[in-house]
Amino acid sequence: MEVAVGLAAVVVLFVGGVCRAEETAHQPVNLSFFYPLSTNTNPDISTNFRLNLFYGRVGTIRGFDLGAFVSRTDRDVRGLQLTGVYSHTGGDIHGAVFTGGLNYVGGDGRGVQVAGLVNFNRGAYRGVQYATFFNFAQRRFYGVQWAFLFNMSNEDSGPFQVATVANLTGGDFRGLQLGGVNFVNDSMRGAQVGILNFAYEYRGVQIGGLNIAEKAEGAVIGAINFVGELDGVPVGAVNLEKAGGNADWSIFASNIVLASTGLRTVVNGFVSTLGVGAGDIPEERDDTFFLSWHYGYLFPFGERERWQLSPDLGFVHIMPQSEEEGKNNDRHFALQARLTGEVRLSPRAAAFFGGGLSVRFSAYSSKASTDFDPLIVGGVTLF
Amino acid sequence: MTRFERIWGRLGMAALLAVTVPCASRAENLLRASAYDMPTGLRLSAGYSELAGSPGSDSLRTWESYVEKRPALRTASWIVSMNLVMTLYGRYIMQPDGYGFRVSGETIKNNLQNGFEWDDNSFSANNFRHPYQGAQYHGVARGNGYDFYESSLWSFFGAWEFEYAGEAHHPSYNDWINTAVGGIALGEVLFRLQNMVLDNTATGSERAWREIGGLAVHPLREVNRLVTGEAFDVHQNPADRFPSSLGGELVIGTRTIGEERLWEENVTKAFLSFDAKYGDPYDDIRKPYEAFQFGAQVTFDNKPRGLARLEASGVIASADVYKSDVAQHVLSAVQLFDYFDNEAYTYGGQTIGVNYRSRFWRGDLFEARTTVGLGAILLGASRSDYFNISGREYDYGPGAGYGVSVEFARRGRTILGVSHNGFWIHSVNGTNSDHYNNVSRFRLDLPAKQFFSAGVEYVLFHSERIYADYDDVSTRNPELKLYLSWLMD
Repeated sequence: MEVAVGLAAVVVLFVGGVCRAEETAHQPVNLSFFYPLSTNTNPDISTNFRLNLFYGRVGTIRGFDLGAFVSRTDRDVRGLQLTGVYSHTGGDIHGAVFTGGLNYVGGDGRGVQVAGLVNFNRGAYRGVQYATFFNFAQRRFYGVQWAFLFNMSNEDSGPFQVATVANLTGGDFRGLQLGGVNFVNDSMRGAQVGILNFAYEYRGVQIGGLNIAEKAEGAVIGAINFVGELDGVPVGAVNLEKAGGNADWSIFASNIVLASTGLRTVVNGFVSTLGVGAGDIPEERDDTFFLSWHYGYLFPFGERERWQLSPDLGFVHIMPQSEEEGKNNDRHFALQARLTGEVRLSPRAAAFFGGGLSVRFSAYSSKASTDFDPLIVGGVTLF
Repeated sequence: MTRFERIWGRLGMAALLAVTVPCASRAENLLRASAYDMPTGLRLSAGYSELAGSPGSDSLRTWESYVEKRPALRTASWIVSMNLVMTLYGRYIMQPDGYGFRVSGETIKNNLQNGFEWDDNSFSANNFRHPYQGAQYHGVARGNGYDFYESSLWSFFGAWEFEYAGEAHHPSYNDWINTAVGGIALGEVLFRLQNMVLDNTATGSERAWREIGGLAVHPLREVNRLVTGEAFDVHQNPADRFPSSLGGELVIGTRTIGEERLWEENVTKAFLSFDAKYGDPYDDIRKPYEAFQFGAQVTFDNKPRGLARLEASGVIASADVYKSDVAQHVLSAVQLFDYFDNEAYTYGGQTIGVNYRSRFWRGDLFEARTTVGLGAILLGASRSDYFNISGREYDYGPGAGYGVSVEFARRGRTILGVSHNGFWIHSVNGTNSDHYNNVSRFRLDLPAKQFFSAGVEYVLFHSERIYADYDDVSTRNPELKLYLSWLMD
């Protein structure tokens, strides 16, 4: 082993010595052991082929670059670069760059960048980036950013950002963000899908657990949706809109659930009621709890829109608390369709009454049996 | 009682007198001054009593003038005295019949000849009490004018001295590292928190209460203030008494922890936690710990102890990678102190690492923050499933860790936080094993009023312990917290 390393060093030194005598700005082939133990002593040369063992340094590469540990190129790289640990390019890259650890580019990039840990670009980038930790573009990004943890672009970006943890864009975004947290600082055109989605302003759709926007056109689908001003459809358990939405407290009872209460939110006529209830009347069990979500639309009519008609569909999760012989003690569910009419009694209160159909499934199973019950419901809403 | 023990005891009494007599004298001055000079406010202790008149702070003696000499002898004396008091406490109160604190010339000689080994103390003794002890060394050195790095050397000195001359049993690697390195982290945190509690320009009862508060936060440094007279003299506060920003959060709620699944063999208990954010890690950090986070959690009826969590994370140095009007990226060197001890998870560690922090913000309204961190665990303690040769229930070793987090905040208040931390410990003392511990968190806060919010947090503790001589063990413990929090900005 020592002999091999020694021989390699001698060869590199020898070749370097020979080349030094006739060194020019361009060296077609560059070999490096640990710069300046290399065929070049001038770090500013250009080359078409570089092979370096520990550390190689040149000015420009147009062709192929292979380095086991660290490759440094002070200006541009065009072609294919394969580096084991760290690749440093001071200027632009055009082509494909694969690095086991960190890939740093001081200028703009175009092509494919793959890094075991991080792609870090000081300039703009067009193409594909993949990294296990994160991709970073200090300026515009256009293409596909794919990372296990984060994608970050300080300026405008698109059309695809895909990351397990977060996609963050400092400017506008056009396209699809798919990740745990999606953040667009300015305007988004397209879609965001994640646990939390934020766009200051968007035209398209947000799909996630918590969706937040100041101004939106399109749809927002999630558990909790919070929009400053929405021109479109909100689908969620809780929909909140600053500009014209309502968040009301509802108390109601039915021939199935003895007593329920919940939060009713209304945005652009779309009404969502998230409720909790207790008392299973058909089963005659007081200690059964219910979680329900009903979603529908409010049709106002009458003078000053005092009357409202609301068809909705609902899902009810049913939780028996005790074991009783001859009863269904498993958690099960029901699907409901209702039509209710509401009349405003005062500026702060309304009463509603209606009916429909409830289908109770005996279990969360494809083999569950079903019971059909007529549904009668009534209650008050406090604004 | 041997002759050595009698001498040791007399030295201890002398140390206590040295502390209490000047305290009494100074306290008398304070009370007298409070009663007599309160209207004009400033003529206080005899030693520094020339500051009558306007309380304009520019005319006051500077804080730096107290500490510019950086008295090595005084600092060393305090550290040695504290070690002596601890030895006496251990010998006569904690373990009156025990072997551990029967210190003599012979034990010191034995310790010097034997050198370091590993000890068998409990998890909390080794991973909480020793770092807290080290924090006193660091704090008293800081109070005497030494900077962070110089005070760190004093922590190592104090830990070394206690290991050789404060205990009868042989010095241990784990004590030395935990006391010194953990002491640096906790010591700097407590020093800075204490600076905020104290107010050198205050007088009368306010001053007295502040000094009492200072005693609670950092006892040895406060004793040093009492003896030097700093506690009684009206003078300027340190220039960096308050950080650029300060936030705290008090949380109370319930936490349910299960085996494998949340609803399997679960226990539900109440908890109380406090977390503080001192400074801003995105600021220009000029000195270590100008930005840090500190957190503690007490779980009622927690097993094995009430203190379930204590952690500190301080920025040692940082550099801006990029900053614009909407985004900032910062690379930081950090020090971490970790102490987790509950039914599901036991881990303690001293870590030095690197964080890459990013934030994107929209005016004052919305902000997203991310952190990626890598660290070298200088010494980690992780639960062992088999009693090891020293009788401990945890293994010791170095290792590595990583962390990743993302937070989303509205108007400065975090609404959603997701994080994952992984630790690998290669045991070098205890069972022959490798420990892979993972903690994943998901937290959602719903602001209710200006300073209050309700929230839910899901935590998953997952551990894989690979043993060379025993069966491997895998544990999975989900935890659900429901809580109310009070934000103190």
